[in-house]
Amino acid sequence: METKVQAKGALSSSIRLKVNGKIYDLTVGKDVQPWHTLTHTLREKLGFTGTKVGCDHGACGACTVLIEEKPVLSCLTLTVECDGKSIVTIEGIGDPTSGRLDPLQEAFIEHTAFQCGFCTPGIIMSLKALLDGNPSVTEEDIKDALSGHYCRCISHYHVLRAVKDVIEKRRRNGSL
Amino acid sequence: MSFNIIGKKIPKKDAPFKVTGQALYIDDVELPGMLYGKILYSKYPHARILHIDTSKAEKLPGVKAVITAKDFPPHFRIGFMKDNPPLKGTKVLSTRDEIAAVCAISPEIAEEALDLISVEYEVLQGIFDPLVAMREDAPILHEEVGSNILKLPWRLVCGDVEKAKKESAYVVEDTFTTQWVTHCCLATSGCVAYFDVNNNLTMYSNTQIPSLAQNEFLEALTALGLRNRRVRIIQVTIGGGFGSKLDTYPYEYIAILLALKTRKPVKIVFSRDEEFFATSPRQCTITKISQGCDRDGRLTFREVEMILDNGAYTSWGATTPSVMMMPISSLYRVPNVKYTATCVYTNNTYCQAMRGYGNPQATFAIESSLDHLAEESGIDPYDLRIINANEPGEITPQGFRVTTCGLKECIEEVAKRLNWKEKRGRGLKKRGVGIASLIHVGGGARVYKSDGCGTIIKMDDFGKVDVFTGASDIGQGADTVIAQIVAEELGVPVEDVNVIHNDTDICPWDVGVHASRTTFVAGNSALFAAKKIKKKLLEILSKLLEVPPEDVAIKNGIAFSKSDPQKSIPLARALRRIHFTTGGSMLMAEHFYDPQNENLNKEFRGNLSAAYAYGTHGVEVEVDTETGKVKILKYVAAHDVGRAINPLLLEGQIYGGVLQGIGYALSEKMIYDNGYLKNGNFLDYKILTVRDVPPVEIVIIETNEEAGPFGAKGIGEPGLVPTAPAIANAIYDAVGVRIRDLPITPEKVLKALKEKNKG
Amino acid sequence: MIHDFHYLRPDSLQEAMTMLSEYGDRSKILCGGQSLLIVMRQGMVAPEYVIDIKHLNELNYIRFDEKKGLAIGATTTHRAIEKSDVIKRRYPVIADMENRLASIQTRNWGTIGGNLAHADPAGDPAPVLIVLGAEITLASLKGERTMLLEEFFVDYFTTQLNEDEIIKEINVPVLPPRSGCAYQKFNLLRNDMGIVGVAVKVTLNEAGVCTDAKICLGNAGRVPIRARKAEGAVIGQKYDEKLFAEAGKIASEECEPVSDIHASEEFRRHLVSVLTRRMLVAAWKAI
Repeated sequence: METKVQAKGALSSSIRLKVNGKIYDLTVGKDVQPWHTLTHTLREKLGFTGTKVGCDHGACGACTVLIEEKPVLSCLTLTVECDGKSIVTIEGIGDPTSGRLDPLQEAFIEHTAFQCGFCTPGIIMSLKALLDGNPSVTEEDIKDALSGHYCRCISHYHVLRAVKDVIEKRRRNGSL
Repeated sequence: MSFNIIGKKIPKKDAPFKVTGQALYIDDVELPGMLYGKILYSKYPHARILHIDTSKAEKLPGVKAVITAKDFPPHFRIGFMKDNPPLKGTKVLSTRDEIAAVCAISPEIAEEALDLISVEYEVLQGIFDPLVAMREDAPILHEEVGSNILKLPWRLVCGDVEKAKKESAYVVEDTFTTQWVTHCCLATSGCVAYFDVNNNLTMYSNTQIPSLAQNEFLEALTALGLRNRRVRIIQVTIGGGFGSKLDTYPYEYIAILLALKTRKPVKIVFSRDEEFFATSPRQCTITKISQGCDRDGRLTFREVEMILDNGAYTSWGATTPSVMMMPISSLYRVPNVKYTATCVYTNNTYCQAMRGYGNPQATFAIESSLDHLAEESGIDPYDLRIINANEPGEITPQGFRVTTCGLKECIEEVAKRLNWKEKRGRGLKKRGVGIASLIHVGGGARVYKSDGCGTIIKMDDFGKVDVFTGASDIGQGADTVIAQIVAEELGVPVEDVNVIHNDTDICPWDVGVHASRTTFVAGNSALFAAKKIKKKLLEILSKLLEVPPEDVAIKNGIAFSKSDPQKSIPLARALRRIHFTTGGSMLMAEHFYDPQNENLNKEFRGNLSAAYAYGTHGVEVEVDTETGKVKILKYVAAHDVGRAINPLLLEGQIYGGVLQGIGYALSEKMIYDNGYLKNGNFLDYKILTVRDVPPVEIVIIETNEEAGPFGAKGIGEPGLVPTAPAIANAIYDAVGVRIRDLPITPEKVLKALKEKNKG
Repeated sequence: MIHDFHYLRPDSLQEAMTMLSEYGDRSKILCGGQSLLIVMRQGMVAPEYVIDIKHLNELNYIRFDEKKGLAIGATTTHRAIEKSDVIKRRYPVIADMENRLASIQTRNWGTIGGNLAHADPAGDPAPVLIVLGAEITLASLKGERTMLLEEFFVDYFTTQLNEDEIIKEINVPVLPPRSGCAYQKFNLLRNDMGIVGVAVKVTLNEAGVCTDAKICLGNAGRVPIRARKAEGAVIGQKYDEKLFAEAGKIASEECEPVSDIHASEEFRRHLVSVLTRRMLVAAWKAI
């Protein structure tokens, strides 16, 4: 019965993650341990260090990534739970080949929506999920999306400006 | 004056790295062969260490070194009073005391090894109340000091307070208390230490004080027997500072020793709970304050007695009274001032610098008490502040020479935007308004013998500018402000200016990011260096363009003759021409700027800063009298900033300060119970999120400070200085209760309301 | 750091129950883990086996039937509940409560089953579901049993779940006509855990007289507490704010809060009194 995914002994199996469009097959017990959080695997195993660890107890939101397009705390998610899932990190938005940034990233630059920037990747991931495919985003929605993110430099005001700017540009361009 | 780049909302230079996840913070640093260090802390707040057994930990596979106090030289101490051994060998004085440390091939193994270290303690009675520690019969915590009261002479006397008190028409007296709050930098503390084959040390560091840290680590190397070595500090992207990185901590010396023992890079990065209990918070204070005024509302005296819980060891927290003197002596015109402060050792956590450096605690007492005085004298709190507002040209009792001062404008603007006259004193719908002001150093602060900062500028063959500055960027935007200043002066686009600020091997000396000094001091340093290189450049251009130097202008990277704009040359070409020629030259310049400010003398008098920053905050609150919950309806923050070099970054500083200040006023508190921190995590320590932030209206008052770069003064800390008293005053206006103990929790408000209704 | 364990990933509820019957108290069900991983990291819980059921689609559903009411499968996420059209329409109090529960990230991954099994007395869903008369169905190889949710909680972080049992489903009956509900938690910051929370449901007859009232207090004791005496005070009565204030007082006397770092016992009792009155008003007005 206990052969599905196991750390100890020879019965280890593998899991498959799709991270930023690329497939990774990881052997449980070797590449990943059952107790590894997704944050740990992304940062330490796969090198996606744009995902940050602010608290490691699910409060600050710095580790937010998208799993199946939904923002999730990667510090409160085991890697093994994500078998077969598609994950997007801050490194996976925008266009990696041309280096073109996502409109959210551009707006964050233009409005300098951070100071130290440590919370920024997580915040952008939450906002990305909010804006993608959502034509009518209200201020309440934005605050709701941001409420799971701590920012000690307290750049929330600039963040709100940046998001509204993206929404406004989108509206003007008539695109989603 | 019209500018091309100064005053523009220019995005922060490191923005592209931060929005893509490419910025490297300390936890992102990986070096070949790197080991991971972990620290074992004391189980008890006060105990004798009888025995430490590390043998099991040493045998754990993957462990590369285990160290205890025995591995440091016996008398090696760190901190402002040199009372803190990086590892404690005989006695522990707080629950954050470091007893042993391990490094291993993975953080998990290092942590496992910590569990294998056994420590035998003899538990001693702890002292957690400074008033108890001050008693004659209290056990002495530092035997070598001989007293729990630190030998720090915090005493300022100006004029005759006793006489003024007798002559005052109105006198009030109150006691205020403030709590421990902590920086909560989103990235936790950490470092990577390693030694090269020559025993020179490189530290990847979060420090706010690279030059001073370099000096302290050199002292440590000397103590470890490594004489005449080099220390190189490389700052990574710093995930928040706010004062927390203004000192060196035991963990850094532990990393150094582990690296020396193993000859490998050793990384120590704190977990969030370590960040809470093992870094140093803002000190808590007990403040007795008395103020008086005459019949016309003119302040006659201010008397303040303060007790500070120093905790178990001494860091910069113990020196905050030197800054508290500033508002106590110089916020509003007050002719007679007396201030004493006592710092007391306890078995609590020890304190450090945090944004405002004592000023918020002092201003909470002063501005709350001032409202009390307004009530006592029957003068509107607004009028009382206007009557006593500082003015340009004034010399304060402590000897501060006020140059520019927009305090009156700040008070007036805030009152206007709050609709003060309409709203104050009504208590309608349990709403009320309150104001409070601040003074802070705005032109550096001569705390050390030097308050200077160096800059080196070079221009390359492509017309681009490299600026090597001593300033550190902790997120506040030093990189961008310096680039703007240089670009403005040289007439080049701001994107052509590259600012290098993170490596002591190539950057000049600077005293550090503190005292809101970077824009003023590092900005001036960069400006003067730019002026020097510009002078050389104009001479060269004058030759190339065959016009007099005074006829040459540079704009957008192109030099031209003012009288005959047809004569022009791109800077890049001009620079190449003077470089690639026999006996050629390259353009470089340097400047070390040390502001015209003074160390305080033995009586704590002197012009501490070359300029002073002022501001006023106003707030409208609504109090739920059934639950005690305070809601902020409107917030106005007016600041005299001299000149806004970059309004985008300036607003960020004010928003950030205000909201940290609201947390200080209403929600944040480190709860210590008999030496143990009870809420050291982000679920139980309450910092505001976007859901909790009120609308904040920012008012920028520009007074064009002559000594500042393009007129600018400092703004890093002021944003949170007057927040708590402004809120406390508004609560009083709303429901008639004055809360004298921070934070102002619903429970305290409710209790005060009950007592008031009883009376 | 989380203690090492065996990770088990059953393909069905049946398989999960088989695993549970085998490993019993050496195992722990993982169903989102938004609380479990925190306590595992703190070392408070260190199971040898973790049985992950979050991916089990057979337990991921929200169904509504005009007769049977609402059925929510245990692996349904908080976010799915918050966003469910039928819940917004028929039980807006549940959707509103979910909207204030932690952050979107937690609501996206955390599940209703995981939340209830964790049995934190400060949890938001339980008081609301209890006043709605919710039942909970537990399943094991031995069979299923259903109980009122208010009977499910035993003590701090302790429930009626036997070692071999899994939460399968939560059922919420159809609200009688002329019923109103309200829930509010008092906290310092908006998305925090509640210092206390109060949920109220009232049902009136055509004359506006209260025929049924349920009041449940969160974080005012070891488990979510029904304030039965306070309920008794309003049943048979019409809208009367004085009466509601009295009911609040009664509720504050029948709860068993403790003092902790966030509030004193006295303050908690006071808040129960105020919130009970306010929620009675709000529930009445919601009709």
